[in-house]
Amino acid sequence: MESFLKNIASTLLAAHRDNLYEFSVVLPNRRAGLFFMKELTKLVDSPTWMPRVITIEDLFYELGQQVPADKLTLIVELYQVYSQLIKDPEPLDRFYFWGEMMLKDFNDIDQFRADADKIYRRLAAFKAMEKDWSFLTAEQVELITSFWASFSHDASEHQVRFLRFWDQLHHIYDRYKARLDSVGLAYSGMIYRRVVDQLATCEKPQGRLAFVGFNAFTSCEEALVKYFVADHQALLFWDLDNYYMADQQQEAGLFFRGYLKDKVFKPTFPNPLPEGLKRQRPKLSIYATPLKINQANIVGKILEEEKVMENLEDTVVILPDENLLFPLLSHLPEQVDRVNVTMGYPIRSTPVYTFLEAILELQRFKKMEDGKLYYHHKAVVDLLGSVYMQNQPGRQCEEALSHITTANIIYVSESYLKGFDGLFAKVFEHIPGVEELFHRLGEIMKVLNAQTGDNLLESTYLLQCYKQLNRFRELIMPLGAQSLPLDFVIRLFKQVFRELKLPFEGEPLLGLQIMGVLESRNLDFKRVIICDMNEGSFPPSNSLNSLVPFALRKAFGLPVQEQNDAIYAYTFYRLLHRAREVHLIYATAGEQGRAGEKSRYIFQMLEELGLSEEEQREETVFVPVDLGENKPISIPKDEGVQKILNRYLAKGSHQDKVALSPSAINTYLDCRLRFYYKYIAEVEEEDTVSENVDPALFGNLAHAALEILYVGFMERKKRREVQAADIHGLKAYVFPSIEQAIRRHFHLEEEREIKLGGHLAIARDVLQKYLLRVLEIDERTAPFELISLEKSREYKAELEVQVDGSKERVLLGGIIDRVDLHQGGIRLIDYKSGGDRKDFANVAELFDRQSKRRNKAALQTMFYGLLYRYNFPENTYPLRPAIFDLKGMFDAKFSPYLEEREPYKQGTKVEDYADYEEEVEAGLREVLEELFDSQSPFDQTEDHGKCTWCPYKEMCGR
Amino acid sequence: MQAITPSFIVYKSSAGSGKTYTLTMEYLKLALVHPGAFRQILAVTFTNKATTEMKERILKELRRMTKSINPEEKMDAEILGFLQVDELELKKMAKSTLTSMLHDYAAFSVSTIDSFFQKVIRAFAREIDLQAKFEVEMDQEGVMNRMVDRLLEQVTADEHLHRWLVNYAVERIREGKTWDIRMAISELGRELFRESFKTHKLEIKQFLNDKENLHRLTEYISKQRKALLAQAQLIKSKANEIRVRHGLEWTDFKGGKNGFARKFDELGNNRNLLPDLTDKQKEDKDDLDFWLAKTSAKREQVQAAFEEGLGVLWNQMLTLYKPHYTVEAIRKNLYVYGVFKQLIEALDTIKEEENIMLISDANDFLKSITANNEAPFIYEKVGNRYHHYLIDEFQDTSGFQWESFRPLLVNALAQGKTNLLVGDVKQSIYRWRGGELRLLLDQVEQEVGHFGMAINQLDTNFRSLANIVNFNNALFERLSRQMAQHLEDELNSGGILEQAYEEVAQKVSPQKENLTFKGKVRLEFLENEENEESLNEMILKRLPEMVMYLQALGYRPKDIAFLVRKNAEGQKIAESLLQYGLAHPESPYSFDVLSEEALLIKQAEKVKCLVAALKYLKDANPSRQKTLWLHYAKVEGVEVSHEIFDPSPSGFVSGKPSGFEQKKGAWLKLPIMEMVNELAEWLGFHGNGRERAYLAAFKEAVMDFSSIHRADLQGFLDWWEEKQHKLTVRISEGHDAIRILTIHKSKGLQFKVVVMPFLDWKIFDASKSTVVWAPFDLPEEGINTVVPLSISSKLKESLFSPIYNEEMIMAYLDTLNMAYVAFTRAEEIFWGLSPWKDIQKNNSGTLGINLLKALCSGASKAIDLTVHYDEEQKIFDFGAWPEKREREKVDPYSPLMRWAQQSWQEKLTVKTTTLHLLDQVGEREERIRFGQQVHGILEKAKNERDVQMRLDELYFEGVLQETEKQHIASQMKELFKLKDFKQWFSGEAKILREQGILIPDGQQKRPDRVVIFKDHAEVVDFKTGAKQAWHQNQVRSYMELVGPLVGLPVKGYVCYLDPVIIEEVN
Ligand code: SF4
Repeated sequence: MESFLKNIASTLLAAHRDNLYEFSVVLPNRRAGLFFMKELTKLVDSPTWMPRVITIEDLFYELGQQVPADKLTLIVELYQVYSQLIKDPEPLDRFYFWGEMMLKDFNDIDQFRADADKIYRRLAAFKAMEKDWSFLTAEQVELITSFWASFSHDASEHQVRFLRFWDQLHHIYDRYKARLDSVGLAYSGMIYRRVVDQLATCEKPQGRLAFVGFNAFTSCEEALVKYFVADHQALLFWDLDNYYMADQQQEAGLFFRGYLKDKVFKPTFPNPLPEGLKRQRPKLSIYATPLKINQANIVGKILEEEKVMENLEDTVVILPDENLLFPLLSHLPEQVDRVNVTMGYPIRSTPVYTFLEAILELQRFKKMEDGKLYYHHKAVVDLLGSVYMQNQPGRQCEEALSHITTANIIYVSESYLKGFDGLFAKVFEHIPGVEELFHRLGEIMKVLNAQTGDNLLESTYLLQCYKQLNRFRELIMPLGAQSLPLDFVIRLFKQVFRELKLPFEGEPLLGLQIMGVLESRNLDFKRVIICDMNEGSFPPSNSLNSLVPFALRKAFGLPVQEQNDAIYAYTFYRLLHRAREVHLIYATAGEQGRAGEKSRYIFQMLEELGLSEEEQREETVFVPVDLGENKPISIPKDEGVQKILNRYLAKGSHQDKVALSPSAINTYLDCRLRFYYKYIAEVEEEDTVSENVDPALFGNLAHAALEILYVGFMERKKRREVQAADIHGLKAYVFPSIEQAIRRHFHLEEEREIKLGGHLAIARDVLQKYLLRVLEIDERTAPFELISLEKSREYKAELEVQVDGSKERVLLGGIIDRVDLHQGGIRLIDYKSGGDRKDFANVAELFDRQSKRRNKAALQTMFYGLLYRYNFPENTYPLRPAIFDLKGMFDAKFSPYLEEREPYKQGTKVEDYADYEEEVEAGLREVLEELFDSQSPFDQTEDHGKCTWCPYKEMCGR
Repeated sequence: MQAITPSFIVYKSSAGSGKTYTLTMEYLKLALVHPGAFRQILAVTFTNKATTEMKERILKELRRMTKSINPEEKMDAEILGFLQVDELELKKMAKSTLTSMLHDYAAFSVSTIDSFFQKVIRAFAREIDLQAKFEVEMDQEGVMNRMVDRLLEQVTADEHLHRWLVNYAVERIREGKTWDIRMAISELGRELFRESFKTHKLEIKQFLNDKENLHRLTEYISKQRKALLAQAQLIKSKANEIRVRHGLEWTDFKGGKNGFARKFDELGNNRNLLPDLTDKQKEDKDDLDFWLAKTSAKREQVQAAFEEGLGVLWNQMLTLYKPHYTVEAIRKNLYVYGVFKQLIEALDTIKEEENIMLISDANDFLKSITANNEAPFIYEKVGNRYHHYLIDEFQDTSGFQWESFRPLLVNALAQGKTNLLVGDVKQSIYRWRGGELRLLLDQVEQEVGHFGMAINQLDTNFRSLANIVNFNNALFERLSRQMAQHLEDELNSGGILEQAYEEVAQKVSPQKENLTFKGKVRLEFLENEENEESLNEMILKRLPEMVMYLQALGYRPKDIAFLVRKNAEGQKIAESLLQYGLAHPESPYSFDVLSEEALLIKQAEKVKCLVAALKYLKDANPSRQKTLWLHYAKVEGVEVSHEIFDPSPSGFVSGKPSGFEQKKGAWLKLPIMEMVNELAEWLGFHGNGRERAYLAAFKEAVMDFSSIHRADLQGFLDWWEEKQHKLTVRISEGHDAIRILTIHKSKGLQFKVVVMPFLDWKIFDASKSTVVWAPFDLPEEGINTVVPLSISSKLKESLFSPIYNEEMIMAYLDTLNMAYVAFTRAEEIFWGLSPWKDIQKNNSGTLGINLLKALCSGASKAIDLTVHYDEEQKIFDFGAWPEKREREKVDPYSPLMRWAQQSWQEKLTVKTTTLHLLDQVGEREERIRFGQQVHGILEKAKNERDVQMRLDELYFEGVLQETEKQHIASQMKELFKLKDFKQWFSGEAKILREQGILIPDGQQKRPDRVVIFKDHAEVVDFKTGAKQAWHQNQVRSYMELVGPLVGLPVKGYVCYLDPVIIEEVN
C-alpha cells in the first residue's frame, strides 16, 4: 500500500504541478517534511518547483513574527513576577520546578484559549458564576462546583495553603504576560494566542497552505487551520483509519470524531473513511522478555533473520525509552550498514560532562576552617579518578589518591591539591563565586580541548558544552550572580545539561530508521518493531503535572490525561496503517525491582483486532540463568612460584631476600591460597577511604605512639629503667606521641597541619585512653627495663628445614612491639587492638589448621620467642610472650601472659619460651616444609568460615 | 438490582483458598454494574508483581465472560446472582465493561499501596512543602550510611558530640566489644525509618532538643548504677564478713562447688553488677534448707551464718535485679539514643540536598494529608474519586498505612459503598517491616465495623492435595493451642495465638478430593549425639538422595522447592547438591539449583571480571589486573595457575594486558554504558555462552544507573559497591531447576514438592536485639521520654517486662505463621527434616520440639497425628508416595536473541563540527562562524523583519551569545542598506526561500533565494568564503533550471558576505 505521504505528494502534484511553489505544506514535524519531499522527488518527471515545507510552529511564529524565548529565561522572568506577588517566596532554585509547572499551565491556557481569570477564580458559591458563565455546559458546571464544594467552611490547613497561592495565580498570569510583552519575550502559547486573535488582520503568507497529517490540534491551531480552510482555500489531509473512528470507545479516534462533526472540517475528510486495517492488517508478533536490555538482542535477531534486507528504509524501530538506543545500536547485525537515528547522543553521559559536574560537586561540598579551604574527599576522589586528571603527566593522580586513601583524609586541603602541576591547579583552586565558576569552567574546557587531539566526537561535545555554558552564564549573571547560592547554580546547571543532545549525522532518509514514538508521525514503514511496549513507556505514564486541579482543567477545556492517551493511541494505531509486519516487544521486569506491565495496546488488540491463534501467542524470550560452576582453585608450585618462594630461603644471593613473618605463617595456616594471593601473587587487599578505621591501622598507631612515648622517655632520662614514679610524668606525653604517630603513619611533615576525619578523631581519643591504660598497667607492674621498642628493629632468624629432600634455611623475621625486662624475665609484648585470647590448648594446636580455636596471637608471640632466642643465644632470662590487648586491659584481672590450657580445665602460665621451644620449632618446621614442598599446591581452605572475612573471597567465589 | 449486602466485607483467606479468584470476582461484581463503574474502584495489592497479575487476571476473566458464562462456576454464579441478570445479558455487560476498561485504561486502578500513596502525595506536594520534583528513595541502607558519615564528620566541629562518641567507644571497649561505633549507630539508627519510632518521634525530638534533658537522663542512669553498685558491694562484703566470722568457705554451703552461695562473690563487679542466676537461684532463700546440705560437716556454722542474715542478704540482692536490669536496658542504647537528634538532622539535610523522599516517609505524609483533609478535597486534588477500595494482603498493612486509609474508607462506607479487605492473619510474616496483624484480627472491626460488616471465611483449599490439607488442619490446630498454652504457663497470657488460628481448618477442594494420589507429608526427626554441626552435615548429606528419590517419582527439578529460614541455610543446601552433581556427572538426575544467592548478578565470573576491569581502568592499580585475569581465566574455563598472576608471553593471558593498556585511553573516554559494552566485547563475553543472563543484568544495572546518576566510572563503582548485594537476575517460569528460597520469599508461591531440611529454629531469639520503644517517665527527675530498648532475656526481669512479654507472644506468633506459610506452600508433598529431642527434657523454645510434641500428643478433630508417628523410627509419615510417572521431556531452549556486537560508530556518526572550541578565540574562525550564521539567517528570512526573529531563535537556542547577536544584527543592517540586496527581501516580489527545484533523477537543487518580479526573476546565492570559480557556474545552472519554470528572463547573483560583494552572473 502506498504510504500516506506519497499519496499526498501525488495528489498535490497532480493538481498543482505548475504552482507547487505557491504552496506551503504544513506538517506536524520536520522529519515528516523530509519524507514528504523524498516522496515528491520520486514522483516528478521534469524539473518542478518544490513547495515550501514547514511545521505548524514555523507558521505560527512567522505569522506572529516572534519566536518563544527559552525555558530558563522564561522561568527566571516568571520568578521576578512571582516573588513580587507572593509573600515569602521560596528561593529561585526551589521555585524552578514549580515555575516550570506554572509556565506549562499558562501555556496550556493560551494554547487552549481559556479564560485565565475564570479558571483562577475562587468560587465560594455557585451563585456567582451563573450569569457570565453561561457558555459552560452542565457537565462543566458540575465539575467546577464539585471542586469548589470540596472546600469545607473552615478550610483545612492544606486548603488554606492552596488558596493562598491560588488566589495569586491570575495576577501572576496577567503581570507575567505584561512583563514579557514589555521586554519583547514570549512563550509559545502566548504567540499562538495572539496570532489567532489577530488572524483577520495579520499579514498572510504568500500562496496557499496545505495541512498534512494532523491528529490533535490545540484550540489555537484548530482556529487557525479552520480560518485558512474556510477563507483561504487551504487544503487539509488526514491520516486516519475507520478502525478506530467507528468505535466510539477507541481513544485513538477521539479527535477525529470531534473534527468530523465540525462543519468546516467535515468536507475535508475522505468519504468513505479508509478501511485499511480492515482490508489488510499487518501480521503481529508479540515478545516478552525479563530484562529491558534484552529487547535490543531481540531486535537484533529479528533484523538478522530477515536475510534479504531489500530496503532498510522500510523498517523502523520505535524506542519509547531512549535509554535503549545504545544497547540496540550495538546489537545491529552486519547487514544493517546504515542507520538513521532521530534521537541524539546524550551529552550528560559523556566523560567531559561528568567531569564538569564533578568539579561543581567539589565546590558544593567544601568548607573553610581557619582561613583554609578543604574539599570533601569523595568529590576529590571522584575527580582524581577521571580520565582527564589521569592524563596529567607523571603519577600525580596516583600520588594524591594514595595520600588521601591511606591517610583516611575526609577533608582534603586545597593547598595540598593545588601543589600539583597541570590541571590540578585549575580544578582544585578555590572558586569564590558564580562569576569565577563560569570563568574557571571555561578555562578547564579549553585545556581539555587541547587534550582531545583529533577525536572529533569529543571536541564536538566539548564545544556543545562550552556553548551551553556561555549561554547559561548569560542567563544567570543578570540575576545578581554573586549573591546566588552555588548550590542553586549547580542544580540548574545539571538541569540544563541533562537535556542536551548531539544530533547524529546521516542522510535521514537512508538506512534503518530508529526513532522515538512521536517522531514516527505521518511516516509509514513496511516493518515496524516497537520496543518497550510497556505501560509507562508506551503510552508513557501520566505526567500531566499541573497546578490546576483535574476538574478545573477538564471544565475549562485544558487537556487532561484523556487527550494525552488519545494522542498516543493514535500514534500507535497509525503505525499499523500500512505496515506488513509488526513486532511488539515488552519487558516483564521494569526498573530494578518493579514489575513491567504490558501495554494496554496489546490487550486492546487481543480483544479487538481479531488476531490469529499464532499471533495471540506471546513468545517469551529469556536468557537461561546459568551461573558458571565455581571450580576450586589450586595453584601448583611451578617455576615462577618457586622463584618467589626461594626469596625466603637463605641460599643464593638474591637482592630481594625477605623473611617470613608470623602473620604470614598464620595466613598460611588459615588458608594456603590466601597466602599465595598475598605473599606470592601479591594481590593487594582493597583499600579505600572509608570513614572506618580498621583494626590494623589502630594497632599500628598504638604501637608507634607507645614507641615514641618510651623512646622519648629514654632520651630524656638517659636510662632504660622505668619506675612507677616515672609514669605520672609520662602521661603528659601521651597526646603528643599519638599526634606524632599519626603524622609518621600518614607521612605528614611537621609543619603540615593534620585534619583528622571524624572517625579518626574518635580513634585518636580512644587511642589516648588505650595508652593511658597501658601506662596504668605499667605503673602497677613497674619497675621494668626497656630493651627494645623500635619498629625499625626487625628481628631475623633462620630455621633449617627439609625441602624436597635437601636441607634449606628459611628466613624468618618480625617486629616485636616491645621487649622489656620485668621481674627477672624478658617480656615479648605485642599490642593488640582487639580482644585476643591468651590461652591455647597445646603447641600442636597452634599449628593445627583444623582447629577452630587456634590462637594466632599466641603463635605470633611464641614466634617472638624464637626470634629472640636466635638473636640472643646467650640470654639466660626466661622469655615471656605477652599480649596487651585493648579489651583485656580494661579488665581488673588483666594479665598479659599466655596460658596453656585445655578448654574448661586448669591451665599453666607460660613462664618461659624455652619450655616450648622444641615443640614450636618442630611445629613450625612442619608447616614450612609443607610450604616449600614443590608438590603440595596452594589450595583453598576447607573451612568456609575462614573466607567470611577474607579480602580475596570475591576471587574465590566464596 | 443489587441484593442488599453489608457494605464492608472482610475475607479471611487461608492459604491456597483462591484469594485472587475471590478478589477478581468481587472486583467484577462492582465493575460490571455499569461500564464505567470500574473508574471508582481501587484495588490495592502488596507488590508490583501482584498488581500486574491482578490486572491480567481481571482482564482475562472479563474476556472469558464475553465468550462464555458458566453458571456452575462459583464466580459466574455469584455475579449472575448479584447483578440479577441472565447469561446473555452478562456477556453483553462484560463486553462493554471490558471495552471501556481497555480504552480508559488509566482509570483501571490496581496499584500498590506505595504507588497510590505517592500519587496522593505528589498532588499535595506544594501544600505539604515538598519540592516539585522529588525522587522516591527505596534504598534506606544507603541513606543510613550517608547519615552516619555525616554524623561522624560533624565530630570535628561539635565538641560535645565528639566527647560523647569517644565516651561511647570507650564504654564499648570496657564491655568487651569493638570500639568501632559506626555499626552500632547504624543498627539503632535504622529505627528512624520505622513506624515504631515515628510514633514517638515528636516526643523524642522534643526531649533531645534540650541538652539538659539528655544530661539529666545520663546522670540519673549513672547515679542509679552507682547506687546499685554500692549496694551490691555492700551485700558482698557483709555476706563475706558473716561467712568468715563463722569460719566458712562458700563451698561449705549447700551445693558445694556448684552451690549458689558462691555467687555472693560475683557481686559488685563493675562490668557485671550482679551475678547471672538460674531460675531456681532467683527464688527467695529465707529458709535454712536452701543453705544447708544434709550431709554437711559444718552444720552449726552454716546455720549460724544463715541466721545472722545470709538469707536476708540473698533476698536483698534479689531485689536489686529489677532496678539493675531496668537501668541496664536504658543504658545499653543510651549513647546512640543521645545522638538521635543529630541523626535526624543529618537525615533531613540529606533529604533536602538530594531531593528525595524516603519510601518509608510516604506513610507519614499521607497520614498527615488524610488526617488534615476531607476525602472530597483529596479526590479533587488527585483527580480520581474512589468509592470502592479492595485491599489485599491486609495482614501486612502497617498501622500508619491503615490510619492513612481509614478516612478514605470511612468516607466511602458512609456513602453505603462496598469496600473489601482480604487477608490472613496466619500468613502475616512481615511484622518486622511494620505489618500490623491486629488490624485484621480485630482492630478494623472495632473501628469501622459499625457500617455493617460481613466477615467471610474462604475455607476451601484449592492448592493442596487432601492429605496436605488435612495434615495442616490437624497440625496447626494442635500447634497453636499448644504454643498458646506454653505462653499461658510462662506469662499468664496465651496472647492472640488461638484467636489467630481459630479458623485454621480448611476443606479439601472437590477437584482434589477425587484424585487417587492424596498427597504426602513426611517428617523425619534426626538424632545425633555429637552436636548441632554434625547433625547439619548429616542432613546435608541426605539431600541428594531425597532429590533423586523425588525425581525418580517423576518430578521435574522445578517442581521441587527447598524452603529455608535464612539464606545461609540455602547456601549450604545449594553447595551440597552442586557438589554431589559434580561428583556424579553420570547421574540421570539433575542437581541444578537456583538459590536467591545464586541469582545475584555479582556472583557471575563475567561480572566480576568486568568490575575488576572497571576498577583497574579507574585507578590503574596493578593488583586489579591480577584479579581481572583471574576472573577472565575462570570465565574461559582455564585452570588457574601462577601464570595468570605473572603473565608470560606464551601463556594464556599473554598479550591481553598490553592489549588492554592500548585500549585503555579510548575506553576511558566513553560513557560508562558503552565502556562496559566495549569491554565485554573485547573480552569476548558476548560470543561465549555462559552467564549471559548475568552479563545482561549487569548491563541493565549500568543502564539504570546512568539514567539516574552522574554517569562516571567512580560513581558507578561506588553505586555498585552499595547495590551489588541486592541486584539479581530474573528467572522466568520455564527455568528447570530446583528452587531454594526463604519462607519470606515463598509467600504467594506454591510448589508441587516442598522440602524443609532445617525445620527447626529458636522461637524467641532474644539475641537478635530487636528494638522496641518504651515510655520512660520520672517526673521527679524531670525525665519524660521514650527510650529504645533492645529485647533481651534480661528485659523480662526489668520494669519493662510487659514489653518483653508482648514481644515474646509476637515471636511465637511469628514462628507459627512462618511454619504455616511454609507447610501450606506444598501442593503434593511436604518433606521436612528436624532434629530429634526428648520432649520430656526440653522446653518449648524451638519449633522442632513443638512439632514433636504436637505429633506425639495430638489427637485432633481431623486426623489423629499420633497414629502416623513412629516413635521408634522417629518418622512421621502420612500418605503414600505417588505412582511413578514418566518425566516429561523438555526441549532445549534457544532464545531469539542476537549477541554479536558491533560498535555503533561503524554505522553512525555524531554530527561533528570542524569548529574547535579554541577556534572561538581565533579571529579568522570567528569570521567564518559568523559568516555561517549570517548565511543561515539570510537563507531562511523572508524579509528584514524576519531577520531579527531568526536571530532571536539562534540566541534562544544557545547558538549565539548576546554580543554576537548584536554584532550580527549590525552587520545585517549594513547589508540592508544596499539597494540590490534589499529588494531581495522586499514584499513586492514573490520570494522563494528554502524552496528548490526537484529534478526527475531524485535530486534537489536549492538556490538560496529565487525572487520573482513581474518582468524577470533573480537567483541569488550567498557565500561566506572567498571567491571561487564554481560559484558562478553553480548559479548559472540554477538559472537554467529556473528559466523554464518561471517563463521569464532570469538574472543571477553571487552575494559574498565577507566582505560584501554582489556579483552578477552572466
Ligand atoms: S576466600 Fe577462602 S579459600 Fe579463598 S583465599 Fe580467602 S580464605 Fe582462602
